[in-house]
Amino acid sequence: MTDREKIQRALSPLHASDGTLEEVLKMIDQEDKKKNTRRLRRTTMIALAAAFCLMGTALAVSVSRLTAEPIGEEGLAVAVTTVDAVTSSSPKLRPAIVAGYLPDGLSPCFNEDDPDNFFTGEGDRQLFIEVFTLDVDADQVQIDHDSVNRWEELTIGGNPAICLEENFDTRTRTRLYMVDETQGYVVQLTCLNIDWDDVVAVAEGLTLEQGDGEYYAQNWSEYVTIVFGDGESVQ
Amino acid sequence: VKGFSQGEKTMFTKEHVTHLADTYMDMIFRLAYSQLKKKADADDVTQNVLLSLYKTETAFESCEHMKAWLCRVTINECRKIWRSARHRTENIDDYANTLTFEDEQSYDLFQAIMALDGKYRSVIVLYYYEGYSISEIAEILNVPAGTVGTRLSRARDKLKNILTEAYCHD
Repeated sequence: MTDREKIQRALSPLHASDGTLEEVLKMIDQEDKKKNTRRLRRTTMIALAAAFCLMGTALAVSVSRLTAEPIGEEGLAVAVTTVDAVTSSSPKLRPAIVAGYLPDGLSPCFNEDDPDNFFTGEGDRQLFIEVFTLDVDADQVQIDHDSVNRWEELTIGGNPAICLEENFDTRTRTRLYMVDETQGYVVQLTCLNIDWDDVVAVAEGLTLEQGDGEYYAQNWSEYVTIVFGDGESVQ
Repeated sequence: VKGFSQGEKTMFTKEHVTHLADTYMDMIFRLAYSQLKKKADADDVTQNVLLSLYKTETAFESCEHMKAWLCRVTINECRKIWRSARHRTENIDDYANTLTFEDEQSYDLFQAIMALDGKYRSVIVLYYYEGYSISEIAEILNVPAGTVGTRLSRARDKLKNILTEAYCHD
């Protein structure tokens, strides 16, 4: 028997769970619903474009802030507190993320069909930059972190930000949350094995530009609920 | 595969995805599990990759092109899983004990593969199970071919004893 046959025999018992296809079909239905909503919205957006231009100034007031509340000795709850100016739960078009600064050795990773900005480097270094719509339900969710060994409230480009460093397995995971109040986005940097100062420098160098795609930035509340909302705290 | 024509953007229907899931779901799961060593995460990745397939507008030129794309998206989804709150490594024995292996040697080899570093596991699965060449793996993993060769060689060395011992009675 060849090595290939031995390895194939050892790995062949691995099969996807029975419910996988059903879950995928459900996700497709949800995706199709979103698509239809987008089409309707786009028609409406054209009609309302002029109105939005006029409202731009009003929306530009400071409407939100980030809060960090310690939990126990090592925990930290991070939340976006919105006030009254965010009036819609409709996602906003996803902007193009332009990173003005990247730590040495990090380069863009294969990103086909993937909206996230994702960079990797030697030494298991990784960096994600994601943008979410600051929605009306944003203040209904919070992210509980545990094993936080350092955190700071920052102001980056005039925007409130919170940076925290947590133990993750044997590695260091750094998360930086920033609210772009004028454009109505929440920016999240998630980094593995990247120095604190470099993470902050990446955030300082970021700009959000008008994207050319038709996709919408996921609502912050939806993201937090899906990724952090299973009752488990962040490790 | 119906649903795409050469050089044109792909538009898959639910029926196409159902058919393609039947063909590729286990491959995606196997690759994901070998990276993550956690069944729930591997299932999540499998679902996300199949949804990406439905959403993609990539102009697939062939089934081989699509399979390589699926491998790349799977590897990327696995790379991203650590950002999730829910990701925790788990003892693979619990899951391994629910699997049906043909013989004890296969079980031991499974455990030995899973004991390798992640960068070795992906190379082992892609080379030995999926039959990709070193240069093809380099493209999928987005690393130089020399790096793939080195990883494969080291992985073989680490598995050498068990590969030699397994089935020595054959």
